[in-house]
Amino acid sequence: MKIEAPISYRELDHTADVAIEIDGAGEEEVYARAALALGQMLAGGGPMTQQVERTLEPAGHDRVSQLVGLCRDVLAAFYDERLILCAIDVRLGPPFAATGWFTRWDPARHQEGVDVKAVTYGGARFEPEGDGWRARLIFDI
Amino acid sequence: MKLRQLDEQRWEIAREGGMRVPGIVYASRAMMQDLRDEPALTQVANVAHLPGIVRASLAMPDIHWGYGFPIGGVAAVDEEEGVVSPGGVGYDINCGVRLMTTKLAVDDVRPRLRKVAEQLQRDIPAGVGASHAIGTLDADETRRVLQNGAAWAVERGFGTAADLERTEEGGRLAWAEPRLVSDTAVRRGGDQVGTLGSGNHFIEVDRVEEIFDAERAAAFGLFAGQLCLLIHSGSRGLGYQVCDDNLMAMDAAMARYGIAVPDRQLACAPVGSPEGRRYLGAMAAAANFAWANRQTMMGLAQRALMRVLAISDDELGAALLWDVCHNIAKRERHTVDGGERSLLVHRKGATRAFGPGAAELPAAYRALGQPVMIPGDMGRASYVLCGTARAMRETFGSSCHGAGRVLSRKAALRQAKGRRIDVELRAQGVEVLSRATKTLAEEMPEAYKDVSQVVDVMHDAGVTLKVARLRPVAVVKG
Repeated sequence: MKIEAPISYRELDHTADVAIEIDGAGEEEVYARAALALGQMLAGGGPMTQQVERTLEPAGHDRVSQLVGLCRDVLAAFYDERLILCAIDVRLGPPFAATGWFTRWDPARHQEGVDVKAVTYGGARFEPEGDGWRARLIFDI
Repeated sequence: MKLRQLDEQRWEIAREGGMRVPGIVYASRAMMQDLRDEPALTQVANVAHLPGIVRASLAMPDIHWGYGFPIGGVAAVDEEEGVVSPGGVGYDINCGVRLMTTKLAVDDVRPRLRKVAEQLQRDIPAGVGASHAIGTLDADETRRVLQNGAAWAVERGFGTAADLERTEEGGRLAWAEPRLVSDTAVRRGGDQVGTLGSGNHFIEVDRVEEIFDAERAAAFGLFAGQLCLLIHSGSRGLGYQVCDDNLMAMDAAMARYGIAVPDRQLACAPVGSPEGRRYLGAMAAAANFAWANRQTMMGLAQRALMRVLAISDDELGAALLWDVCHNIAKRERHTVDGGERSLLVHRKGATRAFGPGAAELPAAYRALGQPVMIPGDMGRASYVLCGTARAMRETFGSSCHGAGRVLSRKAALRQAKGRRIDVELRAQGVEVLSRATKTLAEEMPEAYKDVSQVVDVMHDAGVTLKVARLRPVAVVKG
C-alpha cells in the first residue's frame, strides 16, 4: 500500500540527536511511516512533490535491522543523489523491499531540513503494541 | 543501578548482571545530580558488558546520551581477548580538534574580525553535504588520502612537515587499509576534503584570555591576547559510511561469536576476527581522511587570514599547536594491575591525554605532557589542557572532549524562539556566521554545560591540567 507524506510521528526528547516513535496498524505501515518521517525531516517543510521512483532493497535479517536498513537506504538516496523520500510502498516479502517516490532536494526550498547524518541501532525497537505495531529509532544529527 | 561516590570527582557504578567491570564516571556532585536520570549512565553500564573490557567503563564529565556508548565514554579492551565496537568510535570517525596559533594579537585585528569570519565561511564549505573546497578527487586519489592522511594535504601545499609532528599519530594511522573502505564511502568523500560539515562542527577564532601554566603555555607557543584558530571537524560522509558498512556486518556476526550486548548499537566482534580486522583497517583509513581534512582546512584558513588581513605568511606566523582526535579506537600499551598490556582503547567523545614522558609525543612536548584542546560553546570559552601521569594510571591517558550538551536540539529551538542568537553573541563580542539560522539556535551557549566546570573536574582530579583559557571572538558554524 502506497503511503504519502505528510504523516504524523512522535519526536521524543533526546539530548544530542533525534529520537522518533512511530505507530501503525500493520508492520508495512510502520516501516513506511518511519521512512517518511526521515523524508519529512530532510525536507524541513519544503515541497515534497513525487518526481523520481526508485526500488529499495534494504539489508537486514530481522525487523529492527530491516527498519534501520530501509531508513539507511532513504538517507543514502539523499546523500548520493540528493533525493528526498515523499511516498513509499513497503513489501514485507521475502525479500523485504519497497518502492519509493522522491523529490529532488532544492537547497533554497529545503534549507530548514534537519541534517540527519546516520540511522542508528541505538535504542531501536520494533514491537507489537496493542492491536498494531510500534517502532523507535534514533537518528544521528 | 548502584552509584557510589569514590571521591570529589569520581563515581562508581557497581558491577551487576552481565557487567564485566564497574563503571567510573568523572563528575562534580552538581553534575551528577543532573545525570542521575539520564540514559547516559545506563550506557556506561552497558559498555561494561563488552567482552575483554579492562579495569572499568569510563565516562568523562562531558558525558551525555549517545547511542551505544555515551558521549564522553572510554573503554579499553585487551587486544587478544577483547572486541572492537564501531559504536565505541562513533559515526564521525576521528572527529577532532586542531588549534593553530599565530603571531597576531586579537586587539590588532578586532575591527576586521567580521571580514575574517566571512572569508573563512567563503573558503571552507560548511553545512550538510558541503563539498568542493579543493575540487573533486577521483577514487584513486581519495584512496591516497586514506593511506597518507595529513601528509597528503601537506604534499599539496596545505601546511608544512612541522604540522605532522604536532598531530596525534603524525596525522596517519599506518595500519589503515584503504581497500577495505567501500566504493560508496570513497564516493562520498571524494569532494569533501577541506570541508567543515554541519551540526556542532565549527571554525573558531579565539583570543587567549588567561594563562594558568606559564611554562606549558610558553612551550605550546601561547601568549595572552594572542589570536588562535580552533577547527572542529571529522571524516565527513566517508567516515559515516565506514561506520554504517561495518555496524551492519557486526550486528549480523555477533551471534556467530556468541556475543550478547544490551544495545545493538554496541555491535562488536573480536579484535582479531575477520570482521574486527576489516573494521579497524577501514576505520584507520577514515581517520587518515579526517586528518587530511583538518590539515587542508587549516591551510585554507591560513590563506583566508592572509588575504583578508593583507599580511604575509611570515607576519601571520601560523603554527599548529596540536591536533587531537576524539572519536577513535587506538592500539596502545598501558600498565594494568602492575603489568603492561596491549589494549585497544575506544574513545567516543573523549580525548587522548598522554602524560609527561610518553614516547608517542614529539620532543617539544614530551617532558611536559600532551596538549589537549577542549572546545566549549560559542559564547563562553575553550581550553588548552595538558595530560598527566595520573591520566595514564586512571583513564588510559584520556580526558574530556568538550562541554557536553544539556539541552536537546528540540529544547534549544524552543528556548531560542523569538531570539536572534547571532545578535546576542555579537553584543558579547563574538561574530557568528552560519548558513542555517536553526543551527545557531541548536548550538546556542545554553544548550551546553559550562565548559569551565567540565575542565575543572578533570583538573581537580589531576587527569588534565589547565594551561590556558581561550575566548571565542568569531565563529563559523557548520
